[in-house]
Amino acid sequence: METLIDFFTGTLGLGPTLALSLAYATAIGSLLGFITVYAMFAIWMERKVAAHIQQRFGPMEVGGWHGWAQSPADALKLMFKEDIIPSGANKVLFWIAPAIVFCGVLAGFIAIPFAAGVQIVDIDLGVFFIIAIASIEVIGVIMAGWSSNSKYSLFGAVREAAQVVSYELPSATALLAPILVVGSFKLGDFNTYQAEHGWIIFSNPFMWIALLVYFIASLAGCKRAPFDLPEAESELVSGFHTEYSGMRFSFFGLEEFVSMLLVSAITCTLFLGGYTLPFNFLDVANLAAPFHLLGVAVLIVKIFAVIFVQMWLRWTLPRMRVDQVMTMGYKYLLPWALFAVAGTAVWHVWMEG
Amino acid sequence: MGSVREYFSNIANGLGSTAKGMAITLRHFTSEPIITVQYPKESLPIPPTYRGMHILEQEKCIDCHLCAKACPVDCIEIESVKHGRVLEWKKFSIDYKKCIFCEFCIPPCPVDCIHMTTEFALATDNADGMVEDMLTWTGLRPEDQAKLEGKASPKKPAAPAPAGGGEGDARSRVAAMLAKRKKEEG
Amino acid sequence: MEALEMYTVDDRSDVYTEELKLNLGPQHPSTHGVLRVELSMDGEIITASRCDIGYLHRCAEKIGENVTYLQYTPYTDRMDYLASMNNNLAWSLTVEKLLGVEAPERAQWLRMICAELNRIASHLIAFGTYGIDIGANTPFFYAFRERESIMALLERPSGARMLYNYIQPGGLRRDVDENWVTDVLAFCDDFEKRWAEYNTLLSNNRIFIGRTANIGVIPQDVVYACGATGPVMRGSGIKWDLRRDVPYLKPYEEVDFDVPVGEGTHGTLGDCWDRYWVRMREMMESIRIIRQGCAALPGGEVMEKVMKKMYKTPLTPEAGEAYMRCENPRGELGFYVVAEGGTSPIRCRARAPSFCNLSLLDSLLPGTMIADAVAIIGSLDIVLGEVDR
Repeated sequence: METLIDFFTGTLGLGPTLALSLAYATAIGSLLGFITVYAMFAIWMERKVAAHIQQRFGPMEVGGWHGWAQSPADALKLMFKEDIIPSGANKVLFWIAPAIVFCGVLAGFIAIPFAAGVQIVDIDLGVFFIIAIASIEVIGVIMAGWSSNSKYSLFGAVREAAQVVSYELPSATALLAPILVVGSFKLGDFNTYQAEHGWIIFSNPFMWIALLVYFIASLAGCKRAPFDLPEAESELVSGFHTEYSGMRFSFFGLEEFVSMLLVSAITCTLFLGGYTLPFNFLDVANLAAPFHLLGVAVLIVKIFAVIFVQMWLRWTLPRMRVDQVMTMGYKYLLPWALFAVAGTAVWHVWMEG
Repeated sequence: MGSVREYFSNIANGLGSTAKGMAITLRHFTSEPIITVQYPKESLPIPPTYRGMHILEQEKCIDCHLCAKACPVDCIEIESVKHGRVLEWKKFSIDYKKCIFCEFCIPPCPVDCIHMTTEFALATDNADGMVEDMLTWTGLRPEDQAKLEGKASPKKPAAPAPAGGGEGDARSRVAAMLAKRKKEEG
Repeated sequence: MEALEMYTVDDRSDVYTEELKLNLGPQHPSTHGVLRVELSMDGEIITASRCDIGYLHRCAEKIGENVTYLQYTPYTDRMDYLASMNNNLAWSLTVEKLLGVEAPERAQWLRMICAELNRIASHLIAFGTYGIDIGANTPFFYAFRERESIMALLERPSGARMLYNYIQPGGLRRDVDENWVTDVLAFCDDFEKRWAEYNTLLSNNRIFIGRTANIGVIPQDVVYACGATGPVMRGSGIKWDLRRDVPYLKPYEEVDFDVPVGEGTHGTLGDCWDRYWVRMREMMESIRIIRQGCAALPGGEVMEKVMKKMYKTPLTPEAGEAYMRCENPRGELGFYVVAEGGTSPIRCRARAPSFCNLSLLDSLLPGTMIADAVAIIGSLDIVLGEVDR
């Protein structure tokens, strides 16, 4: 961020306010661009992963090589589709719900460090900022479900509310474990710590439990199988976005993939070394100026590994029932998250005196 | 409800069975071959016994209407005029909107002139186009006409029946199939 | 993830508000066709349900009174369209009983093999779609992979992939080709490996068991009262199988097979998981039957000589009536025919297993959740083509 501001003030000789605005605009613009490209790729990847698990080809025609242009083509199609608003729907809420859902998730990215210095704002309470801001999504989902004037949508929305709110607890608690180790909420500090001390996941055995709990809870947060109850294709016929069409519908689709990216980025940053390489054999953060951007590539590779596991899990597992999801959250994940936090605390007091 | 033992066995069972399932899906992802085919480009083999669209060997047909009688849905319509032993064809059509491809029209034929091909792609956006004309020619054959009128073939042979819609429709493909089959036979 | 404590309707708290009517279907991915279930909901919990059928009614029985005995065979294909071979068999046996003829021995054995292959195909659909109902998409594709092999096998003699019209009064439409038996045996070998895979992937998955065990429990007296048959009945622990108890084909007396029944492995006897597991084990029993059938397949004709003329002149059985029932993948399919000497029966009636099994639904749904409703409908494994006919 500072580099960008310096570029605008120094090289181009602009005033500080203008430079600041331009710097943020550039950063957010490139972030949006990255997310759009990522979402297209992730949708294509999801279809390919599903297809190959099921011994199919998946999209093969559009664009030539393995149907790479399928997602852009779909996006184009959705853009030109009629935007249907069901009669009896609350128009205002129906209109803004997809935007709120999408913005909530998008806002989380400003605190993610993609590489050394490649971070829009390094907020002091970065971890909790992301958790908090990503939860705004649930408001949008409730708005969508309620305003659709469809019983299935309402069911989906209520399920989403119950599920996401319940799973905030274990996921936030599980994240306390790495926070205890690093001693900071700043996401940037996690990278510097892990560059020095190795990946947090290897710091103590309880961290594995924390990672597992967070991973499962984050699946619920993104409405991925086996927690895809709000969408529940076979029960609620897509749940809260049943009534949406065209671009508004695609926002809900994008939101799912973008929130997968967000939670995977958190998983990688907090547990799996962020943009540092294993055992830090090459210190990417302190490489000469353009090469420190290599960290972005390292992080993206890790993120996609996590996303692949999420997809792999989705195409393996059946869906849980509402009460089972609650049981899982409160009786299994939350105690284990607390156990991991307590274990980490004891371990570090014990080991470090 | 449930004891401590059950609690832990639930965790072990849940994680264990998930891991086993994931091993299977991963094996399919990495090593099992793809079994689907890219349909319009390639297709699975169709056995010769397949019950697809019909073809009629019109030279053989004696206009006995047994196939039409055997049809449970009455989709075969035959119209012709008999001049002694000579046939003047007006119509032999199969309505594929009705046809259920049961094959009951094939065994009754005394001269074995109606067959089913492996052609199955009959979809069209035109319902009227589903009534397929089975005839290769209408009216009299030129030599019959000569016989009937007692003079040498006066004009060109009767024009062949209009060949369905475009090049790719089922009718012309079946016609091509029939032609190929004739060539192979003799 | 432990078993759900069954909610009862009386268990409402003070926050009970108002009833929500929810239409499950007729266009819904989990009703296996065009079934409509009108649900009264209290939150996620169903308080009352009313089943509405008839969206796929095609007058199949009335048509039977207007076409000849032979011509009705392809219409039976379209009742339980997932088990056409078994429907053909039931109809052919009914007509044969009316005529007093019997199919040649080779035809009987081939009938048995084809019917069992079709049973596996039908149970594979039940397995795959049940996976989808519960939320697991991948088993569906694996099931269709094996079903595709069966369809390719049955396509060779019959000429069709789904609506076979192969078993006909008096025997079979045509004989199988020479490599067919070898290919069937090869399929059996392959299938056994795949079957184990299905169980690891779905049957023994903890979430799947959690979703199906203790759900939709059918007590034995309800089974008798509603006339449920097939895996729905056997899932409740009643050991009754027409193939074993009333062998309608001679080969069934000669081959050795078990009748799997529900054992309450993961909870109460007669729950969804038991019904599902009965189907899974029945596939393996069918493989056993097919193996023995292929080994003992005799030579000879596949169509009774006197019957061959039925293609040209319609069959005219003497006045009388006949009822014949067969063990279909979904239960007992019976055909009742009254003849008065003409070319078509004056009364033709089908006792459809799916119809009787579906009658259980309204008593199973109250007190369960909407997700359970989907699991219960799936575990009854109905085919709406047969329910409505």
